[in-house]
Amino acid sequence: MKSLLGKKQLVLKIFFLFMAVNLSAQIKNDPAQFLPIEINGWKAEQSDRLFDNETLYDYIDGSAEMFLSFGYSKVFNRIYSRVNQPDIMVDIFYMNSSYDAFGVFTHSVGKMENEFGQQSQQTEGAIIFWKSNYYVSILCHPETPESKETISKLAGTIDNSIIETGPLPEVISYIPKENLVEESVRYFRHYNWINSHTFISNDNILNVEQNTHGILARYLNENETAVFLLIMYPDETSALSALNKFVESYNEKVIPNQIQQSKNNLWFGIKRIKNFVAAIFESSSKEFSIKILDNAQAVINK
Amino acid sequence: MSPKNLTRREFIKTGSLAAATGTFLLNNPKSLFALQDEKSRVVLIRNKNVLGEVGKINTEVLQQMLDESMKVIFDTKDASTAWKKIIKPDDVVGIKTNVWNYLRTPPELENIIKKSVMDCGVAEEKIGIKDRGVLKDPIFQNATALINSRPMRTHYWSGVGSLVKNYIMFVEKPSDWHGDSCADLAAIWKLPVVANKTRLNVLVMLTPQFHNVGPHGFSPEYVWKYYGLIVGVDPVACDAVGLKIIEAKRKEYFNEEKPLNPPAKHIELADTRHLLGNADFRKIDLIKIGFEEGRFI
Repeated sequence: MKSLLGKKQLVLKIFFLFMAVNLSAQIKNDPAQFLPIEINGWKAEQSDRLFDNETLYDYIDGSAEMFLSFGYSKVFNRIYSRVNQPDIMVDIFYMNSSYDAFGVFTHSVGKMENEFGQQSQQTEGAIIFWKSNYYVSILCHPETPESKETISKLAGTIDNSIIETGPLPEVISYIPKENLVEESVRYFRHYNWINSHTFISNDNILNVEQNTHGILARYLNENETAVFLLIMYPDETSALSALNKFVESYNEKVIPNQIQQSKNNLWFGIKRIKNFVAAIFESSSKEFSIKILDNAQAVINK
Repeated sequence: MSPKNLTRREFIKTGSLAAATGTFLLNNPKSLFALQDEKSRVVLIRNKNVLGEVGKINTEVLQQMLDESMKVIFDTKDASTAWKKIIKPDDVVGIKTNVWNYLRTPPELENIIKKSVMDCGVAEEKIGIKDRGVLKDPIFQNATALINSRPMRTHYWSGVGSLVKNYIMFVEKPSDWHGDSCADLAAIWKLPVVANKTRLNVLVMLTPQFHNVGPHGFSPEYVWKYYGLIVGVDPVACDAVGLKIIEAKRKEYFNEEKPLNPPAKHIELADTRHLLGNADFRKIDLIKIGFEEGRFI
């Protein structure tokens, strides 16, 4: 009898524990629920809206493609209004992972700051940040002193409601840190983003797909500059195939594993390192190029 | 119809049909609209007085800018004569504007264009000004002439919002044309609803935008006063000029090479793949009017 009662109690305890964890996860993962209905005289008078993969284009036209080029789930939109003040538009994008939130962020800002979330930018009439798998945008146009203060409060509220942070893409851990211009890092999984720092190609000459993880970044050492590209492929065969395609398709003659001078007298080079393709473009010096690629090789082979 | 369904046969057929039905075209020099045959004349005109202190448009100055451009483009002594070269009294005229919330075609410019068209003898009820909904609009459905006008700005997927891109509202599902970063937007210009109807393009460069921020792509920080209009018959040539200015501004502001990403390849492809006009500056006769400071070109 005692044993049966004990078992029942154990089952109940496990059940309640499961419910608590589940509920806790739900509350943590929905920052939209923490938005106030009213703030500083602004009120959410219109109905909130949700847009998914199919309807995102209706909401933000061609900008939708940027989100769809990463893993995107939905966006929650709320508009706050106040008489004689601009509307404040809050958008919370639910990306599939922190990688996706980070990726979208790197391509949609002008500079990287740290005031909100894991990274943020504040410009006139706008606060943009990412945290965990969320990409958040708060806009008011034209900006007034009151609206500026209010969007800042809203950003803080949303930031605080997202308790967890999300990991950066694994490929970032393979970027050589020496001479890296940190705020120049761009993450991508669609070939459309490959020209973020310099023109490489209009076409997908490196077989960039959703299962590859690419990074572009600038390097700087006094007067030496370079653009570094690193793509992590699922396996070495894919990486080799991508390298071969690049050699065939690039608009200059390419000799893998060599640093060459391009038509504009700058330096470029490309090599495969295990399941990675690493490349340098627009480098001011051959030695600087070799150093960056050697450092990348050392990190990958560690 | 999406670009995947537009075969080469359809491409040629739609062009031929449009040419056969346009009696107006038969009365005008072929060179006016055979956009790739010779150099494309483009006017870049700037006037600091077009924008007031808080960015309010001075309509009179804007009118003067357009008038001057028309005279130069069409080689006439006055703007009225220039307009009458491209618009006839029995035309049905669609003014394809752009109403993007943050940076739209100025209503002042729309009205100037409309009035100019009316001065050619076109009845007001035969003139339409529209962006979204053109496919359902009877004026645009029956238009014999189109005037295309929009501001240039950066765009996350096509590189820039351009004159060529402005016709994306003439298709049922614009997102179908986003493939390969909008490479084939120029193919829209061959569709029967628009083919060979465009008489004039005005790329608004009063306050262009040179960088995107956030999901809506707008930030006042990346908009600057350029005080300009780019005017021409060839939309590709006009876009090529505007693009060069945007790229130069980005380099100046960011103090480094900051290429548009993705590149606005649809403009070059409008030339090389779709033969819509000239993107090559060797085939553009660019006439610059107005002050030089900050012109970038």
